[in-house]
Amino acid sequence: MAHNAVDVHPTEPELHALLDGELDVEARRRVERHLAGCPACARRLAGAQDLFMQIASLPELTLGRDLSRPVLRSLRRERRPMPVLGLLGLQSLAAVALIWAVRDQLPRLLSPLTQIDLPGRLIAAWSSLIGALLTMRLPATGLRTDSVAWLPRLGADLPDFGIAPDWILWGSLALGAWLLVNSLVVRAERARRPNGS
Amino acid sequence: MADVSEQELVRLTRSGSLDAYGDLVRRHQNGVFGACYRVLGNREEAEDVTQEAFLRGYQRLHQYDAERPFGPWIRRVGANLALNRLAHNLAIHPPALELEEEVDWPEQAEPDPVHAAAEQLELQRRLQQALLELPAHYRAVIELRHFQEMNYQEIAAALRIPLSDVKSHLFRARRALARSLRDGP
Repeated sequence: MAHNAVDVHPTEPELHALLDGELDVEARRRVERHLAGCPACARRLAGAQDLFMQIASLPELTLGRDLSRPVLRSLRRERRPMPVLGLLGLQSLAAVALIWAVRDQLPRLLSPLTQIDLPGRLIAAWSSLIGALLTMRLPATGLRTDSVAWLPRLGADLPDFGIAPDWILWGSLALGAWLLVNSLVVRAERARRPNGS
Repeated sequence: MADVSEQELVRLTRSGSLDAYGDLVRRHQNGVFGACYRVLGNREEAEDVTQEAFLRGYQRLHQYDAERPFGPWIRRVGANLALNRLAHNLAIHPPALELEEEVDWPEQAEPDPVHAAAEQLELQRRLQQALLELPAHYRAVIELRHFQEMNYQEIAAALRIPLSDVKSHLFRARRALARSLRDGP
């Protein structure tokens, strides 16, 4: 004889799902109809409900000490402006040291800038930087990007700063690294502020 | 700052007051600790993660919706950190319990007013103990369902387990807890 679905006793997981609000509409109706006519299952449901209530009424676990002190100590340590200011100070010192080291060469290095058409020459200088980067030999692949016909022309009309291309290359890499480090520092600094600013 | 509202404390913290955040920590440290302890089952680790939760909470305070209560948000931060720590600490093994076994729920006796309070305290103590003695993955689902009020789908996502495992873990964990109430110590 075929059983009506309502006659089938719901399983324990079904009763739990009912209490958790996780049964779909059809299953919920079936279980509720069954519960209305089955005292044994209604008692099982009441038992599960009682357990849920006991769990919900568990007293709060107590820590037993004031955690705000170590938390605030850590936050105060983190909030010290040392990393950013220290980095900026170090960069300033490095800049001063660099200028001091090349002070004898400065007039020769800067002399092209005293000529006319400074903006044009600055653009040409940046073109030379890009050209130097793009014409690098890539050892891993053996690819030479100067096979692209227009690339050498980028640096063709350079002002003569008297700086070897290798130095331009290393200088541009150092500049890129400097920008990257500073952006990471700013990002880290933003992350540890509560308002995210 | 005992009479200052939680929203005001959050606002003050956002504008740079660490003392205000200290007050928030004192108000909610037990709640966060409870969540961490129930997940980790180890007091020292739970204290450690609770502290980490408040540091993380401070850094992520801009993500908190000040229209909602602070307690559930910071408890969720703590529970997530505790779950990460748990995943790091443990290789989770399924328990050797039979799913088919039915539970004999205790008969509901008439409460005796003289002993009712003491009995309730004893029940809570046993339940708390049983909860802390559950296997780690059972503690985790109980914490997320009953204390963090996540639904099954959210629990599955948080623990990165199938939905069917969430259901079976919850059922088995509850059965073990029911047994602790029925059988006593």
